[in-house]
Amino acid sequence: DASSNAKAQKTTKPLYERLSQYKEDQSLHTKTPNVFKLTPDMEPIPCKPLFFDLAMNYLELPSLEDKLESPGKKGASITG
Amino acid sequence: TNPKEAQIKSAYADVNKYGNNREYDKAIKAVNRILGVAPDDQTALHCKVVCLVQLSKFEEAHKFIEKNRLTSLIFEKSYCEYRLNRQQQALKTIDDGIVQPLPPNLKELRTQILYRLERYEECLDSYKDIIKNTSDEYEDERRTNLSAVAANLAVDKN
Repeated sequence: DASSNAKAQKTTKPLYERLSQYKEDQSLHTKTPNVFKLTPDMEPIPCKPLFFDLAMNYLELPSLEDKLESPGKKGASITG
Repeated sequence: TNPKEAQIKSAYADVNKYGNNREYDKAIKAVNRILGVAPDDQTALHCKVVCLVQLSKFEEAHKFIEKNRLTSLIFEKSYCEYRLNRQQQALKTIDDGIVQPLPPNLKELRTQILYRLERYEECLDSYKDIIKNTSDEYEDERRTNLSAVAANLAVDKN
């Protein structure tokens, strides 16, 4: 039995459904290996395109320059 | 200096620090310290709106703008409306503002609103104009948006 299994055999079952059996499956060496049956079959459908929110990048705090006098300068004006 | 002034100054230092680090939850606490003693401080009011929007609190930010009649914050107000999916209102906020020609921030936002309103022809023209006149680090993303507009135009025509 073992010797017959080692031979290359035609099978329509995908690899996923026969993991416990050893079979030399030539399809596994091709570009379309019979590994797993995907359902549903792939087909092109319209998709929502990528769209970036670039306005968000403009959302910034206002300039705080006039609110942030350096403490050193402030100190000098008090003592000086 | 009086204590109130010193308190405001130190709070602003915190706003600046946390703002630079993009820690808007902490920045907003510092802003609230300012508004606690100076409720009409326009810069602080503006900062609070920006923090709220950065924290994705669009509804709260929008109400805050209305309540405090922050009419100069057209961009922030419209952006909130855009994110709250009130596109018609968002467009109206920009177009009712007296700013002409539109500065880059309002132009970018207005173009995105046109996209959401599915006004793709105008949107395409607007993107072409923006792309021609800006050079920033988001040129790839903007061209992606342009492609999205073009794709929608192509679908519409079928």
